[in-house]
Parts: sequence; structure tokens; C-alpha cells
Amino acid sequence: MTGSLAQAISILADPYVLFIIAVASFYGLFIGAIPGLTATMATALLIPLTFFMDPLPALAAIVTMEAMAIFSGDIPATLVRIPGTPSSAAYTQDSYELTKRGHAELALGVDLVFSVIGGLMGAIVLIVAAPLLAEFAMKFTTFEYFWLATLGLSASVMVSRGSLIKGAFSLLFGLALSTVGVDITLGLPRFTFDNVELLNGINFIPAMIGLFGISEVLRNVSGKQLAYPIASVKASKIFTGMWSLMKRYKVNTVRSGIIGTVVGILPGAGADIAAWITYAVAKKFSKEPEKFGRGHIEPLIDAGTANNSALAGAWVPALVFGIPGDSITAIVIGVLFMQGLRPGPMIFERQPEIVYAVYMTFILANLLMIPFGYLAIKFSSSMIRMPRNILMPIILIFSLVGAFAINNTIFDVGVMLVMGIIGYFMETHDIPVAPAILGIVLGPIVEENFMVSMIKTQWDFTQFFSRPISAVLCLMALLVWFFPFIMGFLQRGLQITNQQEPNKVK
Amino acid sequence: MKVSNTLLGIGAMAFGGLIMYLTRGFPSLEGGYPGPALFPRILAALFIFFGGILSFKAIKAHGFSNLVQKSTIYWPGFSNYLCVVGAAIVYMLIADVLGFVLTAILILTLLMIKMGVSILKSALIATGTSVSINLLFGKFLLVPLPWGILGW
Repeated sequence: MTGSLAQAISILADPYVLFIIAVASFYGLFIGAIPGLTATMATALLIPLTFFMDPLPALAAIVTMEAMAIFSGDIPATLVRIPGTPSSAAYTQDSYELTKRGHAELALGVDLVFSVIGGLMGAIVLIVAAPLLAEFAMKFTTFEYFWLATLGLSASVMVSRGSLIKGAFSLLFGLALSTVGVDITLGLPRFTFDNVELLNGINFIPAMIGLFGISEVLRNVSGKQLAYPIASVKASKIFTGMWSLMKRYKVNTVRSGIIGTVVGILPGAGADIAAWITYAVAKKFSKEPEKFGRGHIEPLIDAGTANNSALAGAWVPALVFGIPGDSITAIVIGVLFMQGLRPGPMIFERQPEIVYAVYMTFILANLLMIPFGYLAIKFSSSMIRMPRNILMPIILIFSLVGAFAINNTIFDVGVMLVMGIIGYFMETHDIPVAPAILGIVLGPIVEENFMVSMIKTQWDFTQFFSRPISAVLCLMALLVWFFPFIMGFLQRGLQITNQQEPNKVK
Repeated sequence: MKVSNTLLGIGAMAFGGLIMYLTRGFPSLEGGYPGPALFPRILAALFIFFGGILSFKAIKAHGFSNLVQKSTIYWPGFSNYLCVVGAAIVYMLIADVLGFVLTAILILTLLMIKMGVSILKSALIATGTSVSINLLFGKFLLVPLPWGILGW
């Protein structure tokens, strides 16, 4: 362990890696601060560059970028009432109300400091939980992996906001895409339409760039251009009063850090859902719930801590099981495969330096967030004012080159464009995109583990239920599937009871 | 322009039907066990199932009215949308002939002008960006971006 840790530190201390981390920091801060551009899009656009890096700097760049982008999304939320990323949406109203009352520095200070605390808490959970789970995961065979992936897919639909049916469409679409290419049982080309380029399946990276990059370009250019009136900020004042807030709200911070990390671990639930859940929990336990939504500092502390802690949480299932915790780690899994690494428990034995480097980068990135975040706040008005009519065409060209760069083929550019149009259609019809990505990543895992299990047991289905861990995972999956029915049943029961109560009083 | 949940559901069912149709000739495994068709067919069945539920719920709530909501179209934005899609298609068609740098300059300049940036500013930014991206990907990362007529 000590040797791997030392190796990870020495690699991270390499000037080239530090340079990559610094560039990724500014990139993340920039993208996060621009309303409408998400951290997932930033990751998708970063992949073509990481493709040419060694695994460690590539992962360091992604970890740093996502941490910075999630914090930076708070800046436009506070200054112009538009969340930079969806993760800041839960407390945008409170942040902006504080700004209107002349407390923008306080709001931004809380955003920055509690993002750092949340990020560090998530990193600690990742460092503690991942190796323990990895040891446990060594007992997993194809049966357990089938159920685990199925559970992940089901959870991604359940936790996506909006209609469950539309979440299911998104998931099925992703799974359907994953079936394109040569099948694993007989080597039969499926849905390739005699196109040689489709034999290896739909390339994951152009699909990601399309679903996140191009769809966001389309969404931005097709909406009305808004002029933002931006409040001025004195960056030097942002740290004033933070120590007393940390002491006063220590219970909130610890609670939200834990909830955020746990939500992050759930497949498909990322930083945005963590923020919404902790906002609701904070309101429930607050002594001043009536102040929520009216410029109160408490939701910023709770949700701001949670969204950053969720990021590290999402890496737990990604590293341990190869099951992504959110859409960013879904892309990360694709990157790991491209780099010749197979995420799962074996990575802890075979390439421990990679795992330690991810741990160290989370800590480093969150510590770097203090000076870099300060700079981002100082230059916030210039970033937010970045004209959309210049930025979007540049993102388009970058996406075109990025999609081409993976396999040097124009076909991938076409895949990216089609995915972009589909992603835009999905967004405008309230169909969440995240389950589709999980479908693309987990589809082959579900199918391969199912078919291999079936073939090796000569279609003995009982093996899926008779093995203890497999049975527990199956039960959990069933619970997730029937959760809406159980909740509906309970709610109807409550309604009937409530209707009967007044009659009893009479 | 948005389509209603009724049409979305019908579309999903049609997509499921298409998958079923395309898997009709897939062979089975030895012993007659299901093979390459199994997973796609399960997905197709689920598409049809969920599509049916969505359509049924939408028809029950709204009947067959408002299948397509045209009122949501914002025309300047829609024309920008078409231009971005068109630019990507043009890139695919002419990048090999014209080369990356010239194609990118052309696309960037025209898109920026369309979106309200002045001609001179558009041309300058487009040239700077295209040359920078070419240097980053072409020279630094060794991606074989096409040179086109500049390569002669």
C-alpha cells in the first residue's frame, strides 16, 4: 500500500501532471461558470484530449475538472440567478436573494468553502469505502455482476427526475445502442446494415460528445439570448465569517456530506439529485424552514456540501464494480476501457497506483479549489458575459474534431451529430439523458454476464437466485422495480385512513 | 416544436416493432437456446410495453388533441439550430477536400455572422480558433486532420 501511495504521489508531483491538473481546473471553472454548459458536457469534450494521455493524468484531469465545474456552477446562480450547472439549481433562489440584499460575497464564500469541505468528505468516504467494497467484490461472479448491473440500470431510472416511463425510454435507448455490433455468443453482426464501421458497435466517445456537447450547442443556439445583469463582487471579502458558519452549521455539513456521498454512490444519481435531496432534508430539520427560498444561508451550506461530496461518491461503484455512479463516471468507465484498464475489484490489486492517484487527486483538486475558486470569483463577470454566439460555434468545431480524433473517421462525426440531435430531442421532451448513458455503458455488462452465466450452467436459471449475494442483489433489484407500486399502494392506504378518520370523530 | 406523449409512445412502440422485425433472422444457440436475438427482443418488448402505457395515459388525459405543439417554435432559434446541424453536415462533406483549417474557418465565420457577430470579428476569431485547434490536435496530439487543398 505504501509503495503504491508513494508511486501515486510521485506521478502526481510530476510537473506535466500538475500542469494538466491546473489546465483542467481552469477549464472546469470556466465551463461551470457559463450558464447552460454542464460538467458532463465538459467531461465529454475533454475525452478526446485525455485519449492521448497516460491513464493517470487523464483521470486526474477529469477529477479536477468535475470538482471545479460543480463549484463554479454556483457563481452564475448567485450573481445572475441562473445555475451554471444543474447541481446548483436547488439553492439558486436563496443564493440570488442574498445577492439582491448585498450579500453576494457571503453567498460565494459559502459556496466555495463548503464545496471544498463536501469534496474532501466525499474523498474520505471514497478512500475508506472503496477498498473494503473491492475486497467484498472479489467474491462476485457473472451472476452477481448481472444483478448488480441490472440494479444500477433500474436505480438510474428511479432516481431520474420526471416521468419514470420517459426515464425507461432513455435507458432502453442506451441499451439498444449497446446491442449494435458483433454479438458475444455467436459473433453475429447485429444491426450493422453491412456497415463495417458498425461492427465494433457505436463508439462511446462520439456518442457522448453528441449527447452532451452537440445537444447543448443546439439548445443554446435555439433559445432566446439573454443579457445578464451581473452584480459586482469584492472577492477579497468572500472568506469573512466562514469560520463561525462552519462552527454553527457543523451538523448540517456532516449530514449533507454523508447524504451527498451516499446519493453519489447510487448509480444514475449525481450531484444535482444530491443537492435537491439535502435541500429537502435541511428544510425538514431546520429551525427556520420558513426562510428557505428567501435568501437563507442554510440551503447553500447543505446542498453546496452535498453536490461536491456526491462526485467522489460516484467513483466508488465506478472503481469497485465498473458500475457508474453518475453520467460523468459513466464516461470515465469508457475512458478506462479505452486506456486498456478494466474497472472492478482487480484494479485495486493490479493497478493500485491508479486508485491511489484518484484518491490523491480528489484531495488535491479540492484544496486547489480555494485559490482557483477565489480567482474564478474575482473574474466571474468576464466569464459569465462570455458571448454565447461566439462560444457555441467554437464548441461545435471542437466537438467535430474531438469525435474525429478517436478513430480518425468521419463516420464517428456522423454518429456524434445524430446523437446530438437525439439528445436535443430528449431534452426538449423531458426525457432524461443520464439513463441512456448508463444503458450504453452497462448494456454489454448485463448481456455478457447473463449469456455467459446461462451458457456455463446450461440455462439453469436457479443459479441467479440460489447464490447468497446474487439472491440479495436480485431482491434489491425487485424492490427497486416495485418501489413505485409499493409507494402508490401505501399512499392509497394513507388516503383511505385519512378519509375514515373524520368519520370516526363524528 | 414538441410532439405529444401520445406520439412519443407510438414512436416507442414502432421502434420496438422495428427491433423485433430486424431480429427475425437471428440464429439460435446450439440446442435451440435463445442467442443473439434474446437481449434485443427483451428491449423491443419493453419499448412496446412502456410506449403503450405512455400513449394510453396521454390519450386518457388529453384525447387526440395537440399531437404536435407548434406554438413553442422560436423561429430565430430554430434557424440557428438548422445552421448548426447544416454546418456539421457541410464539415463531413467538404473537410477532406478543403482541409480542416479552411473548412473550420468557413463554418465558424458563417455561424458567428448568422448569430449576430460582426463580419471582421467573426473572421478573426474563426481564423485564430481554427489554427489553434489544428495546432493542438494536428501538431501536438498527432491527429491526422485533413489538409485538403492546403496540402498540395
